[in-house]
Amino acid sequence: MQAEVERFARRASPLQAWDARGKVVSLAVLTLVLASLDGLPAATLGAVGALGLLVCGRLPLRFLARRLVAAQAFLLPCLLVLPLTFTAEPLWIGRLRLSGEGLRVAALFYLRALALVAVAMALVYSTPMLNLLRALQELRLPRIVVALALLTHRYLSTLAGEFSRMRWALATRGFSPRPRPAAWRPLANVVGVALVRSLERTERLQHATRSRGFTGQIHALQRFPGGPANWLKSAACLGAAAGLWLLDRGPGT
Amino acid sequence: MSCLVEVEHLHFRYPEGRAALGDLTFHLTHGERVGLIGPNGAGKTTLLLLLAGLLPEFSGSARVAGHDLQTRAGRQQVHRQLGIVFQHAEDQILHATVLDDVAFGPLNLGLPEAEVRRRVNAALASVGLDDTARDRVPFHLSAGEQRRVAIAGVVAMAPQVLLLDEPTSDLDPRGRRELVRILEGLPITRIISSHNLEFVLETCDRVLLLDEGRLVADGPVRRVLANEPLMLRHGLEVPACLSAEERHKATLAGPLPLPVPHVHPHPH
Repeated sequence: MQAEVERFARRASPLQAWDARGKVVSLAVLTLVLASLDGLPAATLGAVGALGLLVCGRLPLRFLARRLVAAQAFLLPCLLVLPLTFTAEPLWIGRLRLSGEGLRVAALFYLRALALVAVAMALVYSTPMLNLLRALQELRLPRIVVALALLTHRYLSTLAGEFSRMRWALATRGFSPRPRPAAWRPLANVVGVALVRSLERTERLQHATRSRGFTGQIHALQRFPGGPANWLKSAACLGAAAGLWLLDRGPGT
Repeated sequence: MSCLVEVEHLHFRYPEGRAALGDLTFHLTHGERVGLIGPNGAGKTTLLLLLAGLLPEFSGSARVAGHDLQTRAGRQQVHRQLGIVFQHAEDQILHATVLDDVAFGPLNLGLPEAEVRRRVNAALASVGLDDTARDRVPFHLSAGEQRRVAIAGVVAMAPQVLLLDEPTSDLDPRGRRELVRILEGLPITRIISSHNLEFVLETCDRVLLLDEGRLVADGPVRRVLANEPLMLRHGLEVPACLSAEERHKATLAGPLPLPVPHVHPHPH
């Protein structure tokens, strides 16, 4: 899992070459603006722009598509439910009553959420985790938070590995994970055992990091690139965020 | 020669009350290659964790390269002189590239970048990993290669003492031979905990036999491992590669004397 997140984080691209500190700050501002958009034109433009960021990351389309499709599992239910639950501006399609306001809110919600997912993916998949955490450290995020993020990132892969091994163990003994009451108990056992085993492994990991002198401060050999090109990228991103905000809230809207 | 590791009357209990080590006394001098053997649950891993400064609550005395492990400062500084390679190498890997992972320890020591790079290069070379390995993802490597990355990560910190916990547990015969070759090239005082007694025979000169947390034998590796009654009594077997003559001589030689503590009693 750890390797999966960072699989393409070192692939040469304008996004990957962007100084992680500027990238974090600029994308955080863009995220705040995207989350606050109220109008469909600005939200549509924001979503298109965020997907454009992913293209700048030169990440494989298939890799991105799989993750974007997975995100739809959370986004689509809202897109379907909101037009049915709002009451303003009723629209009748046969005997089905929809709401015009509900459709607008659903579309707005979907576009904003899609844009936020795309920005998060652009940040995480184009930045090696070590650089990302060092950037947060340099941006004065508390040391304990950064250290926790580093270890959580590592522990998640430990947990995922344990679950995967337990799943294999069940499969090799003829267990079928179909949803039926008889399967609940073994599945609950798997979750419990995987958590206990992960706890033991994370303890070993903690010993390993401490024995190599880790005290919470993250160091790395790579330096942040800096330079005018990175300032330009950050300025462009902040400019785009300001443009979206003006389009949404500025004079004349 | 001065002692690098001094352990005297060491007792350790786990927080739940289970006694893990009892009245352990031994000393190691510079350059010694010591095997730590014993049945499962003998306390081998606990002893290594304790020497690495990872287990704080114990009684007795333990010093590594002058660091008193009874003190918090001693436990926090001991990693500068002592490196430990854990049984499961993957648990030791933290970063997404070999380069970042091997550099992790030296960077934590606060060394300048040039020195870190020099040490990383030297450590990778010493474990037989070439330049192409630096940017590889350690989690995608074979168990043997992960073991080498873990050793390189510790060797890059230039410790005076190296602890290896079950280093052959996930290695095939070729990986094991490679590890023997790597260890031969590392002139560091070391303690190797292992159930693989042939491996201990190949890589160590002296052996400590633990059982139920107590030191039951301490002596030259061939003499201890060839002592069939002693080995059987403690749930072990004489390695097949030792000749019948050696077994006979070791058995006739009788039990090995344990080291006599020579320093002041501890306050606990």
